[in-house]
Amino acid sequence: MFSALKKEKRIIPAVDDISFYLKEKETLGLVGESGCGKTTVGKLILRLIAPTDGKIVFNGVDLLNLRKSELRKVRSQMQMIFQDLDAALNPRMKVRDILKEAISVYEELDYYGMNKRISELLNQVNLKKSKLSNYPDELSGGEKRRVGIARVIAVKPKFIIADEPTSALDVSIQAQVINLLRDLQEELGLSYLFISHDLRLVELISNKVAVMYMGRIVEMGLSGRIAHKPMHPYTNVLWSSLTEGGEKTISVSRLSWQAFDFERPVTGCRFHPRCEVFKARGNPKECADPQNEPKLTETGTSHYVACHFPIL
Amino acid sequence: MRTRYIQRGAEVSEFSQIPIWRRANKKDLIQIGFGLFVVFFVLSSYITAVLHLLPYDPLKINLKEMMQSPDYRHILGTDFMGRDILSRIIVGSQAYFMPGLLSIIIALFFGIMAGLVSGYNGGMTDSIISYILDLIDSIPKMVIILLAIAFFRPGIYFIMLIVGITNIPTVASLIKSKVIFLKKRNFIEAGKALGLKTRDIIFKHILWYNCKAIVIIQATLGMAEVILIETSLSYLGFGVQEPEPSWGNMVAAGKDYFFMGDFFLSTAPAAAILISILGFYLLGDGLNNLLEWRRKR
Repeated sequence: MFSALKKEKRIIPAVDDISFYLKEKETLGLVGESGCGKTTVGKLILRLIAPTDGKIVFNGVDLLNLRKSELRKVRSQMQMIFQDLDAALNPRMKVRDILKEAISVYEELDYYGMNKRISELLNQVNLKKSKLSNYPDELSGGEKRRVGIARVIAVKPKFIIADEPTSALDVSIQAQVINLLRDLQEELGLSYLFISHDLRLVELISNKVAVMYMGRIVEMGLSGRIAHKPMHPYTNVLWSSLTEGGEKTISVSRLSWQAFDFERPVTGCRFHPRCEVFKARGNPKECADPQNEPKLTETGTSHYVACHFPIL
Repeated sequence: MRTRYIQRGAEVSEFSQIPIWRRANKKDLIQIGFGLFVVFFVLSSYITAVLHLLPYDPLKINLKEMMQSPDYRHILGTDFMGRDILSRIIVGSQAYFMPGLLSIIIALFFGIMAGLVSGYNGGMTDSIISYILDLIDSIPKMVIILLAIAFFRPGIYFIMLIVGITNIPTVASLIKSKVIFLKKRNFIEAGKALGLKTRDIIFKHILWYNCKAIVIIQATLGMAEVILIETSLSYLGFGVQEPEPSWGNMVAAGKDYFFMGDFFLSTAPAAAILISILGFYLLGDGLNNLLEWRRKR
């Protein structure tokens, strides 16, 4: 009778055992299907979510050891572009107030200095000055995204986490936003962590790409190599799903991709229930062995794969 | 979804660039106007009293002019002691206004604080605050007030203090639910990521930009309620005491003459009560519509 009152707790780590580094003025793309923990990684880095364990080092400082006031200072150098277009924009604030607020977080400017800075920001993101007195819901998707970017670069960050900045935008505007991000990178010397589920986009903008599956990085390497010579079966499936009609090393059987229960505990390699290589090799024991979860190992030139049987 | 609005025959700007009084609904403006009329009536009563502009002294008994019907000298007539009813109504509005403001300020200040803290922090803080507020809320208002009167024989300010305290839970729960709703919205998290202080997020983003309407409505509703409580207490003889005029004790004093055909003694102050309560309600409603125009679109 009381069993209904007892809460059964089963912890599913959203993100588990992830490790990567990012150099200055570099872009790291983070790819994976929805729900695999990409955004969580971004929020963890900014400490919007408290990690249970681990290290986040920025400019040689471990962010987990910082006090609140110190964290605020570091946050001025790290910013996040949120996936939701309206996320950063308080619906009751005019664009001018939104930008003003972002600028005045770390800078104190007089009236003229503020106006100058605002028009400078508008120039940087190619936004018309007349939009300043609009409310966010009077802007188009592209304009909202630009305001979001302007708000982020207003605090002069060095590192930006771009969480699917192009989702919910149509293709022509996606290209504009990507170009804008690239220009800003050159102009301001920014580093990006570019989170997306679109492998093509990530390949376009990133130097390095990390592919995530169920909270783990399964493959990481230079973007050209990941795109053209994927080694992990999962990356292969991701990539071949995009290039219709192209050569497919692995054919995707529909059945295993429908209604997959991510909460079901998996032993061994997380991908093996859906893995075609696993099936093709006749269900080898290593893949399902709970003691033997594949680790990221270097295979080839700075190309890391977590798989027992990488496609070579 | 961007609409361009035509202004004076020429395409000028988008909706948000038109000044607020021009884009407002006519109905709202009429409501606000009526509400402001009531507020100004009360404010002007202080000015007329200070500058001796009242037609007659509201306390001066003139037995020669008892129970007069309205005429050019006494616009609303005189009461059973020959005091001018118009003057008494004007001064009588002072009976509730200042005490009412006190009660509203107490209810809003503590209600907002409690609502923000319990809504934003949640957890244990929320439980404790909610418990205290529920305790206050569970005792009927009139019972507390009458008990306080029975024990302390207090002045009107003390009574309104109690009214203010009993109004705290209403304000707090409204603010709290709004805060909980807003906390899930992304712009709060985005503000945190930007490096805004928690203080700024709570007071600027939550309170100033998103709770203005609740505060205004609660202030005007509170005022209307205060008028009702003050007049009913005065009517029962617990509030403002004769000979000081209050609309409540004026109605009470006039009720005996009502069926004898001397109509204006109670009707005039009763009408004043009606009009001012209506005025405050409409003021709140109109202001709310004006400030929340974005939601209605």
